[in-house]
Amino acid sequence: MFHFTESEEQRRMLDKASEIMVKYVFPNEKYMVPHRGLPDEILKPLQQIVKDNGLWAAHLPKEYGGMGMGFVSLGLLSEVIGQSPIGPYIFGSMAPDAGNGEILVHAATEDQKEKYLRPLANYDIRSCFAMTEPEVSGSDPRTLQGTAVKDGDEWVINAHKWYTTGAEGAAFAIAMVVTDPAADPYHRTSLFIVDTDNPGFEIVREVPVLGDHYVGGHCEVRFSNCRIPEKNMLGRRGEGFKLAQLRLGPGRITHAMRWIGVARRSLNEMIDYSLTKKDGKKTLADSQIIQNYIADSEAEIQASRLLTLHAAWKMDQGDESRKEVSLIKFYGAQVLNNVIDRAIQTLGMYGLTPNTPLEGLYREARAARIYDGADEVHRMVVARHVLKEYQEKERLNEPAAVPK
Amino acid sequence: MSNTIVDIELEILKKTVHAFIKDHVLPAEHAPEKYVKELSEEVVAHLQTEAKKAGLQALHAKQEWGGTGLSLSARAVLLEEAAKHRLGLYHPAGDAFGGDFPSFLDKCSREQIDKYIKPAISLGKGCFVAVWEEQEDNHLDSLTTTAIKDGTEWIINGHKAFIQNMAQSSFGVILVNCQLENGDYQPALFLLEANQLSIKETVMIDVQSTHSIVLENIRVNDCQRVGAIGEGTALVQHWLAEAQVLLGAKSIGIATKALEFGKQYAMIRITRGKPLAEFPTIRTMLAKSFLNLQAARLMVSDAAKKIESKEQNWQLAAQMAKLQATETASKVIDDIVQIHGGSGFAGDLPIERWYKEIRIARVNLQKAETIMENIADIIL
Repeated sequence: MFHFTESEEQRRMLDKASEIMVKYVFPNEKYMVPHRGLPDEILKPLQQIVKDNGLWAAHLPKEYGGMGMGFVSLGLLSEVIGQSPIGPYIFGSMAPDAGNGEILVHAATEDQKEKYLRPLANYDIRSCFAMTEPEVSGSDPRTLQGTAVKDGDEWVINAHKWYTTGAEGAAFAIAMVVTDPAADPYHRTSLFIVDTDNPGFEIVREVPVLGDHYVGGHCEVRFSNCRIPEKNMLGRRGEGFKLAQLRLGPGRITHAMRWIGVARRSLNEMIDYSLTKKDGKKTLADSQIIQNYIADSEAEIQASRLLTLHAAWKMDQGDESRKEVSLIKFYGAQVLNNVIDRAIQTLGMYGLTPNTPLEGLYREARAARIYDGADEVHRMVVARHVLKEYQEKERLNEPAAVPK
Repeated sequence: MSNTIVDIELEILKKTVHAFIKDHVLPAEHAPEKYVKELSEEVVAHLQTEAKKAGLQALHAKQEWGGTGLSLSARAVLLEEAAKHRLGLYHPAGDAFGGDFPSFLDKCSREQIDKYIKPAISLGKGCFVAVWEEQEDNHLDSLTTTAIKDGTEWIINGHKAFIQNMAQSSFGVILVNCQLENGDYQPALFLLEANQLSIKETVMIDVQSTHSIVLENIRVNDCQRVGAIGEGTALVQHWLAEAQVLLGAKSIGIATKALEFGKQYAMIRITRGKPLAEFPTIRTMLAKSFLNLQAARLMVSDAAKKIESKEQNWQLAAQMAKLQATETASKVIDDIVQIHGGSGFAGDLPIERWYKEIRIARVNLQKAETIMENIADIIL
């Protein structure tokens, strides 16, 4: 089945979202504060507009105030919302809260859902995810060192984390720590919900970083003899790795589609500038060099978009799509960086001034090749899958008409 | 034989700069728990005092002016070394050697030297150059700022943008088109004092300031002119070529330093049971960086010599060296960010700043598209 058209329902949703972007999101970007986003008095009314239009928290099921739709629809909407760094905050689908919300939906107890998921879903509170540790490679979560030890009916967490995005201002953290050091690498860790007012939880600092679009910074945090009740374990003991993976799959669809939105916007900036600014008597768009930039960017965006929608479609069919998700992760992140880079190249020094969104997008975009698995890791995953498929002479998942 | 002596002297100077960075600049930038974006005036003043003791100030300015009087080739070697620290690309040695003194200042009269250059050198400042207008790679022949003669004065109208090193300068030079008596326009350079201008600051990519000025009936005396009327563009071209070579050298400096970080990190960071340095992807990144940096370094050195001897296509050599050096450095720094992962994205290491600044360098002083066009023009 090949079908490249949005359904009428999807079209309506996208048109509505685009209208909100133009009317309410882009004009408010000027109020954005680095690492803090929009002030609440501006943000909250905008979120209400999104809620009133039924476009709130697309990733969540309807019972938690979300839209309860499939990955393709979620991806398409993410593309529109993702054009602006404040889009996901206004539409209630920002990282890391979106991913945390998904884990809670999947693994939380009813009490945990009431206490944490409901207010999170409504953006009454924010959250953070404490996994990456400075001491060990983030590319290999099996090597995490932070621990939780059972003591009576409590768990005692000791861990040093960084890139705990959004920790500043978050009400709770989901911490991934080792509970079963003797188990195999995939079953050593568990997840815990930790209130950030717990005396054992400390934000050491906001790490200074290249990009500044995420609210609440990328923090270094420490859990020091941090005692939490037994009931705050999220999911089952030993499921940390599995649940973290579960969080990352859909996250990669929304990331990749947001990147497409950013790339599309950057391409538009490039085209806009190349049409109006004169270089001598001609516009830049008359130059074949710039035309090549435009064509290459269009090709890459389209390729990445189709790869992503295909991965989303497979996930909607119940497939885990490990290979496809890895493909879009490294390819999409590279496309994002390529297109912004060409746009800046077209605008020249002007493209690095705050007069266009490009320099901020450029700085933020570099992280895409690192977070949720660096390029190298995802290339490895893809190569491993492809090799295995070849060796097993099984190419069932290839959407190619010509058998290879 | 004399070459060898020069080489030995240069080698000694290079070691002096290396030691200066290690002993003075790196400690000045070192501030645990803080994110250093610039050095305070006091710190820069202290660095300049130390640099003077080492005989390193105003590297390009003539010795009789109070400078060090080094050739372009020598400066390229030294500035590569001087750039090897966090702020090094646009503030080599933390501005310890003072500001820039473009070659066209050789044309200055004794009065001009006394009034502008010597005080700048003793203040540890230099000379900014106001050339570009709408775009930073404007064609020099299509600039629009004009000067109309009025007695012994010229009245300047127009605007200039993308002026760099303004904060490190006590005076500047502007390129304008002077209206002749027959109505034609000819380019000329005029000395300017920063305090007679309305200046606007723009921060580029969160890290580096650039300035623009609007000139509305700004009066300059004819005695502020540098060189002859009609000579302006040629003088600016020479400045541009030198600046391109030096930007190339500094880019190689930060990228070489980045490679050092990359090598060290790759050897200690364990993933999937072994150091990154054992993964072929990482080894290739490091090896390519090493290879391409050496190629770029040779091009920079070659261009410096060609400019000095005004060999045929010296301008092209400068452009090619700039392009090769900045593109190479950009790729190296990008790879080193990748090797570091989250640590590369964080500002704890200087790599994060280099990533931003090398993006400026790629479009600064003519971007790839312009240079490619110029190369094609010449070889076709």
